[in-house]
Amino acid sequence: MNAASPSLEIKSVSAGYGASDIIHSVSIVVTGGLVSTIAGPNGAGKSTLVKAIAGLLRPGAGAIVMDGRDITDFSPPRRALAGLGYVPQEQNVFRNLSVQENLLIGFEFVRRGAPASQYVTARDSVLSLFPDLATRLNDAAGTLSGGQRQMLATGCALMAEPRILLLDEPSAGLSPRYAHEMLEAVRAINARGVTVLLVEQNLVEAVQISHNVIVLAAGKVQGTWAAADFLGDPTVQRLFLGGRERRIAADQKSGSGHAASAA
Amino acid sequence: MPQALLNGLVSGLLIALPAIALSLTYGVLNFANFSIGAMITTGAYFAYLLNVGFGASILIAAPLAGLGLALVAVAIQRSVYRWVGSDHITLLVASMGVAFVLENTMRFIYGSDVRTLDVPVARPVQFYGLRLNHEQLTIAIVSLLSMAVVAIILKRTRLGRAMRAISDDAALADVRGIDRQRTVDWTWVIAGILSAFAGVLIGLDGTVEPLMGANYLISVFAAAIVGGIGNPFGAVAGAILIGLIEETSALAVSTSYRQGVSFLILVLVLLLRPQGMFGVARITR
Repeated sequence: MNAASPSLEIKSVSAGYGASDIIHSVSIVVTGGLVSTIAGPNGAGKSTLVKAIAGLLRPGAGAIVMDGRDITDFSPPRRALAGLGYVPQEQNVFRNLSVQENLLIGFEFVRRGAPASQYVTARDSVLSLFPDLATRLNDAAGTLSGGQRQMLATGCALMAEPRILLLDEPSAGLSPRYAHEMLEAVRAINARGVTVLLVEQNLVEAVQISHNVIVLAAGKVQGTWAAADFLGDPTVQRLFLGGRERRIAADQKSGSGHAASAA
Repeated sequence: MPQALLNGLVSGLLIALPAIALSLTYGVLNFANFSIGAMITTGAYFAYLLNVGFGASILIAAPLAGLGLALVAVAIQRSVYRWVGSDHITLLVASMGVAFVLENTMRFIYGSDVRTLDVPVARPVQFYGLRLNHEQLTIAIVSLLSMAVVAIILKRTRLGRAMRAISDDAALADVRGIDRQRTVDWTWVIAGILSAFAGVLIGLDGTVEPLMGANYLISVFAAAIVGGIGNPFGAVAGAILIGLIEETSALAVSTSYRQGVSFLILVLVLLLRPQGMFGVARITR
């Protein structure tokens, strides 16, 4: 795969519920091999955009192109088969099924016909990334803690060996320890060659594992920054970051970084 | 009393087949299939056609009736349920319409006469002073084997995992690449086979007539709801409980109140424990 090529292109996508659009003519290029983060305040349209990319919401206008292929009309199962992995923010595991069954389902419908040995390899790889799950394989997914559930949901998406992974606020509602572990896992997933599109509220930490940051506000793209320049950019601070975030960003620069994860 | 318990157990095993079918289609399609009674009737008539009309042994007629009803069920899914939308009330009403059509088609062809399947007569089995007639033995064996097969499908196969996944969270099942239409079709195949077997077994123990399935409708619904609707394993337990209560209540009240007893249990469960014996209260956020 050519790392510099666009993996996913969102072309002038407008989408919403009923007659009114929530996102307006949004265009984003997700570069192959990198981690791109979509940031923005609550109500900016991040979830709507993610649902449109995942195929759960049909865009009113625009196109979604993956590896040069127009997938706008693909159903969610077809997108999964095309190599798009999606981890919803909530309701992201089958609660009545065991952890093991959840992982198997993540594998068997996308990688139809693959030999059992590949399942074992994929599962072991997920368990090495999320060792917490290894002791819970036979438990119902509904009995997992919030952090473990998020790990399982991400693991299930990885079982399909996606080329692009779409993560909707993976650290939302998690304890600082789990939030940190989740974002470190995202870094590790990317290091394995998976292109990542991340939606995150926990900005300071998310920026550290990202290459690019795209700011969405009021349903429109406000700009794209290289992650290294993002927090220090005066435009970003004026445009987007609240006072608290700015303070944390300043703390981060001066080295007392743990303040961020306590948020 | 022990005889009543034994009869109740067998009756429960019989109710379990359509109760599992009802639970499966409820879980995967999220609607209460009111045509389950008419499906039982249709299955019984298919077997009657082959058994009496063409002189086939019941051992051949029953599986073919299962296959025939499976195809009919898939055809109804593709021609009716798929097009009426996903609203569960609309689907429920559509299934009532399907029930009318199926039932009256049988009435149109065969009239309202009571018919019997052509099966060899055998002596009842006696043990410890209890009596188990040949039909009851058949019911128990067929039902237990069918349940075992359904359990293996649900727990051990890809189809079963797809069905349980859709039942758990249909949107997430889409995201995981599960083909919903295909899974729904196969669910109807299983529901069709189970309903047809129930129809044949009821026909063996009694008669084949247009209302034979409708007479079981309340018992079947009560069983599925008592067991926690959408949970096929709970449906088995619910069915056995309903069977036992129906038969033992016959010691106290006339058997013509049998359905009333089921209805009473149904109402009590809905009032006191709407999630059923094995259901978990659903938390919505």
